[in-house]
Amino acid sequence: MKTEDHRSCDQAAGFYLEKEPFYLPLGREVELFSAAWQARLPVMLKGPTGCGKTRFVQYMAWKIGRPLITIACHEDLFASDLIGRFLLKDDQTVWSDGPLTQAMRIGAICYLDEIVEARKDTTVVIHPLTDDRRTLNIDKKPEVLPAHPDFMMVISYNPGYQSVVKDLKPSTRQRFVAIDFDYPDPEREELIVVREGGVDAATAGRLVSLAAKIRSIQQRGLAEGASTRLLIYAAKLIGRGIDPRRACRSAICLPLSDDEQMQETLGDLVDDLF
Amino acid sequence: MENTLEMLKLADPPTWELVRRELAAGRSELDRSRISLLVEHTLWALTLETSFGRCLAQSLAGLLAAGLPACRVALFIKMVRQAAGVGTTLGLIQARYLAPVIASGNKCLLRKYNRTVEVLLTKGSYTLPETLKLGARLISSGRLDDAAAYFDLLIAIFRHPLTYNRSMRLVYLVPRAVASMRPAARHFQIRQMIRLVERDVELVDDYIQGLEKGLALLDQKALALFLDRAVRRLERRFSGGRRFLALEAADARQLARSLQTAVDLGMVKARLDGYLQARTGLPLTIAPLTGTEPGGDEMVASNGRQVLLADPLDILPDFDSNLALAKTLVRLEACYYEFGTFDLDLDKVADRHAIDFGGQTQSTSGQACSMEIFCRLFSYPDLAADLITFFEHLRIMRLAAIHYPGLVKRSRPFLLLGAEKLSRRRQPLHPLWPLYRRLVLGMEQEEVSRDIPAGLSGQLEKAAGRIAEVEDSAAAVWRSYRQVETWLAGRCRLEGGVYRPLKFPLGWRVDWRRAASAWPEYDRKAAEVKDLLAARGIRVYKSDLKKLLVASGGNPSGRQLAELIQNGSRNTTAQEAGKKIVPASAGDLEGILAGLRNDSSADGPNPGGPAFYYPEWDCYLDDYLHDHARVQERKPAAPGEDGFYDRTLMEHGGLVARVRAAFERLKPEGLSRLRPWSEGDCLDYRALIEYAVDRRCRRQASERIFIKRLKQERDVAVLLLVDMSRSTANAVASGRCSVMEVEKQALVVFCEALEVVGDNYAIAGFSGTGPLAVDYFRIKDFGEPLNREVKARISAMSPQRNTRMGAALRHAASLLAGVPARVRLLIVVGDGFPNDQDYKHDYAIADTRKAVQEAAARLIHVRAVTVNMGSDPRLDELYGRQRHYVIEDVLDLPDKLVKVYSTLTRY
Ligand SMILES: Nc1ncnc2c1ncn2[C@@H]1O[C@H](COP(=O)(O)OP(=O)(O)OP(=O)(O)O)[C@@H](O)[C@H]1O
Ligand SMILES: [Mg+2]
Repeated sequence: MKTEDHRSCDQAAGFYLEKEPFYLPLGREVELFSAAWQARLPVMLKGPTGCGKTRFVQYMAWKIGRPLITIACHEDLFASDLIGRFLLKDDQTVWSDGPLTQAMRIGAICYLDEIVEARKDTTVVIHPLTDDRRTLNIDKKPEVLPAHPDFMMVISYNPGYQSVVKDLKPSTRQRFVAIDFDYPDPEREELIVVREGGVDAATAGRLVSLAAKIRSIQQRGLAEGASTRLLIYAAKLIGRGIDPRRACRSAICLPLSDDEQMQETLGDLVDDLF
Repeated sequence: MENTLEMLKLADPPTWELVRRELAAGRSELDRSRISLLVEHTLWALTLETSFGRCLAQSLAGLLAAGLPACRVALFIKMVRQAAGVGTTLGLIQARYLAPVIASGNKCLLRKYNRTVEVLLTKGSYTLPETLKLGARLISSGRLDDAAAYFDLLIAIFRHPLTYNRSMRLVYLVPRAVASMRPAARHFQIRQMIRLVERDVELVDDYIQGLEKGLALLDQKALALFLDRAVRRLERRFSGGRRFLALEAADARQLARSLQTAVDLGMVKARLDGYLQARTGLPLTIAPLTGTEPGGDEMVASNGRQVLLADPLDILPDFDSNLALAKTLVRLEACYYEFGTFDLDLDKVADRHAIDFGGQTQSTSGQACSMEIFCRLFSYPDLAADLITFFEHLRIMRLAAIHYPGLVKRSRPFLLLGAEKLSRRRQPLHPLWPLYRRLVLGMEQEEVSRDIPAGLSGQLEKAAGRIAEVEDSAAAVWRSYRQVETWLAGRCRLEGGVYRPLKFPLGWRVDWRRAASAWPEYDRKAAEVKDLLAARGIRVYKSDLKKLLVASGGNPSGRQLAELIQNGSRNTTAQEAGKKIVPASAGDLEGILAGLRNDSSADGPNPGGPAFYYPEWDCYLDDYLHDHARVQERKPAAPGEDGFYDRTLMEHGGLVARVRAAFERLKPEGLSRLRPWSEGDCLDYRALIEYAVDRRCRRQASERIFIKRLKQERDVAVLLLVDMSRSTANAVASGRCSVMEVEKQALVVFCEALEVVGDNYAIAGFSGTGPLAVDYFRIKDFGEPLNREVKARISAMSPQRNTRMGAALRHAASLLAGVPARVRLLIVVGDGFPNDQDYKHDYAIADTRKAVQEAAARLIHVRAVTVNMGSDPRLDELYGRQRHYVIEDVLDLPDKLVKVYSTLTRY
C-alpha cells in the first residue's frame, strides 16, 4: 500500500498546475465550485462551446491545489480507455491505469470534457464514482477501487448540441451539481480578449460587439453563436499583423457557418467595425 | 324641349347618381347646352342597353366636366355611336376606353388607338377589354409615351394570324407583363418586345419569361445588347435562341447577370435583413421605398419598423457599386435605430435641458410620435427636421467614428459622391449646406461660408459640440431655430411661406413624416399608460414605455413595468430627489395594463380533432403570425388492391436491383475489427504466436498483437416530405405519366434502398387549402416496418390541393426532432415553389425560408429535390446554395433521389 502511494505521488507531479491560469469570474461560480469541492460533490458545467468551462476547471484545480486530469470524450472512448488495461511488457502482461483510475488514486480533479460525446456504456462507468459510494469497479483485475479523499469528478456538457440520443440519461445527470455558463458580459469579455488575445481595448471592444450581434441572429441558422474562444483567435491573428477584417473572417465568420448568405451578413457586420 | 338632369333621374336613378358625382368632381359648372347634350346621348344609350347608357353617361360627364372643347366631345360621341351601330358591347367598350384617349388630346395617340381597335377586332371583340384597360390606365396616369408604345405593341402582335387559344393567352399575358414593368423601364422594354414580335410572335412568351427571370433589371443599353445577342442566336438556331431569350440557357443567364447594373431588392433583401437585425437587435426589415417624387434623389428612408430602399437601385455604373451603395444606405440608416434617433422623448428634452414646451407637446400627444410632435412645434416643420437631421448626423458620425470606424471609412466615399452631385446643381444652395459639408462630412471649405454669419455659424457649432443623445439634438434645434429662420427669411429660402428643404447627400435624412407611421398604436398606449401612472404620482418617460411595448409585443407584464419605474431615470432627477416615490405594487400595475388589453380580440373556439398549430412568418408584417397555420395529420385512405408499389418493383426491377447493390455497400459492417493493432480489447493469437516466435529467434518483434473492435453505426434518421399539390398531376415532359406517379416511383425505390441500409426513415406527404387546413399525410412513420399497409398508402397517394410549405416543414421538423439520431435529415421533394391561399411569391418564399432556418437551428438538415422546373436562383434563397438539387428530367427522380441520399449520408 505504501509503495503504491509513493508511486502515485510521483505520477501526480505532472498534473499539478504550476502557474495560476487566467480566469475572470463571471458570477458566483467560484464560490459554488469551492462548496461542491468541500462536500466532494461531482460537478457538471453546462454551457455553449468556448465560453470558458475548461479554463474554469483549470483555474479551480490551481486554486484548490489539486492535480487536474482532463479526458476529452469521443465516441470511440471505451470504458477501458478510462479505467486501464493489461499491456504486454517483456514476457508479462502488465496492468496499466487509465486516466480515470489514475485520478482516483492520486486524488486529482478528473475533468471529462464533452461527456455527451462518450458512448453510453462508457458513461455508466462513472455512476458508482459519482454517488456516495465513490468507488470504481475494475472488472478486469478485478478490483473495487475506492476514490482518494481528494478525488473530484467534473464533467462538461453543451446543451446546444443536444440531440435526443446524445442527451445524458437522467440517472447520469442527477448525480451532478450543475453550474451554468454563458458567454461573459461585454465588459468582462473585453477584458478577457485583451488579456488572452493580446490586443488593445478598442479592438477587443469591437470584437465583443461583433460577437453580441452574431449571437443575436443565432436563430437565423447558426448552430451556435460566436464563442469567446473565436474572439480570442481573431484577436491573436490581429495581434500578429493580419488585417482585422481578414482575421475576423478566418477566425469568426468562416468557422460559424457554411451558408453563403450568412457569410455575407457576417462579413457586412465585420466591415462596419474595421 | 330642353333636356335636364331631372329627366335622367326619372329615367334611371343610378345613372343620375353617377353623373352627379362625376360633375361634382369636375372643374367647371356645365352650361345648359352641355347638360342637354349629355342627357340626350345618355337617354339614347339607355334605351339600347342600361349598362351601355350608364357607361356612356359617366365618360361623357367626365369629359364635359373636364372642360373639353366641343369638337373633341363631338368626335367622342360620333365614334361611340358608330361603334354602337355594330353592337352595344363594342359601344360600351368605346365609351369606356376611348374617353381617356380623347381627353388626352393627343392626335397621334388617337390614331394608334383606332388602329389597335381595328386590328384587335379582326380577332374578335373578346380581345378588347383586357388589352384596352391597361392603355386607358397608362393614359390616365399621364404616361402617354408608354401608352403609345403599348398600342404599337398590340398592333404588332395581333396583326399576325393567331389561333383563338393563342390570342386568348396573349390577351391576358401581354397586358399583365406590361403592367408589371417598372415605369422607368417600361417604354424601352415595350419597344424591344415589338422588335422581337416583328421577328416572330412566338417570342413574346420567351421574352416575358426572360423579363421575369432577370432581363427586367437591365437598363436600356444592356437590354438592347442582350437582345442583339439573342437575335443572333435565333438566326443560327431558332429553338436555341428561344431558350436564350427566356433565360433558360446558362450562358444567357450569365450574360444577363454580367450586364445587370441595377440592384433588385428582392434579390438582396434577405441578406440586408440579416445585417439590419444583427446590427440593431431589432426586428427590422427592408422594404421598397415608394411614394418618392420622380427625379428626386431620395434613396433611403425609415418608418420606424422598416428601412425603405429604392427598388431597383440603379445609380452607379455597375452592379457591385450599386450593391455597395445599397449596403451603405442600410448601414447609415441603421444608425438612427442603433443610436436612438427615433427614441426621442420630449419629456426628457424638457427635463434635461430645462426647456418648457408650454404644454404644446401634450395637446397633440394622442398617437403621434415624438419626432412628429417636435417638428410640428415650429412654424416650418421641415426646417426643424433639417436642423435635427443636421445635428443628428453630427452625433451619429461622431459615435460611428468610435464604434464603427469601418462604417465611416466605407460610407464616406458615397457621401462625398452624393455631396459633390448636390454641389454641382444649379439651384441656389441651402445656406446650411456649407456648414454640413464642413462639420458632418469633414470636407475642406474652399470658400469660407460667405453666406452664413459667423455668429450663427459659431453658435450652431457650439451647440453641436455638446450633443450626446437625440434629446440634445432636439434641444439644440429648439435653441437655434428662431435665429436660423430669421436668417433664412433674409436669404429667400422661405419664399411665400414655403420652405425649400435642404438636400442631404444620398437623400439620407431624418424623415419625420414616415417615422410618424411606425407604431401608432404603441404611441397611443404609451401615452395612456404614462398619463395613468402620472395620475398616481409616478413619472415615467413615454419613450421608455414605448420601447417596453415594442419589446413585449404590446403586452408587458406588471413586473416589467415595475422594473421600468424603478430603473427609470425620471424619478431620480434632481427635481424629484426630495420627493418620495410612491411604490406601486405589481398587482396595481397589472390593473393599469389590464385596461389596455381588453381591445385585443379573443380567439374563437377551435374546431375539434387532433391538429397542430404553427406560426407563420409574415414578411410584410415582418413578424410571426402566431398559431396561424393548422396542420391536420391524416393517413391517405388505402384502397385494398392498388398494387402500385409492386408494379413499380416489377417495372423498375433493374433500377431497384442496382440501387440495392449500391446501398449494400453503404451499409456498415457492424463491428469493424482493427488488427493487428498496438493496443486493443483482446489479443490476436496469430500475431501473438508470431511475436513469441520472433522473440525466441531474437528478431525484432512487432508489438501489434491486439484486436481492436470498433462498432460502426450509421445513426441517420431521414424524413421524406413529398409535395402532393395539384400541380403534381401535370404530365411529365414525355407525357407518359404524371409528376405524382414519378414521385411515387421514387418513393418505392427509396424505400427499397433504405431497407437495405437500415436507416430509420419516414415518409409524409403534404397539401392543403388555406392556413387552417394544411394536410399532413403520414405515409410511413419512423420505425414502422415497410409492410403491406405502408405500401398501400404509397400506392394511394394522389395529387391534392395547394402547398403551404412552411407549415408542413415545421410539422415535419418537429416530428423529426423527436427521433433519436445523430444526423437528422429532412428531404423535401416537390415540383416548384410554395403556393396556397394568401401564400404566394415573396410571402411564401419568406415563410418557407424561415421554416428551413428554424429546422436548421434544431440541427435538422433540410435538403430539397425539385423536379419539373428549371433551376431558379430563388431556390437558392429558399434552401441555401448547395442545399437543393434540381432534377431536369423528372424521370431521373427515382435514380437521383437515392443518389442524393447516399452522398448526403456517406460516413
Ligand atoms: N471567464 C474567463 N476568464 C478567462 N478566460 C476565459 C473566460 N471565459 C472564456 N475564456 C477564454 O475563452 C477560451 C475558451 O474557453 P474554454 O476552452 O474554457 O471553453 P469551453 O467552455 O471549455 O469550450 P468547449 O465547450 O468548446 O470545450 C479560453 O481560451 C479562455 O481564454
Ligand atoms: Mg472545453
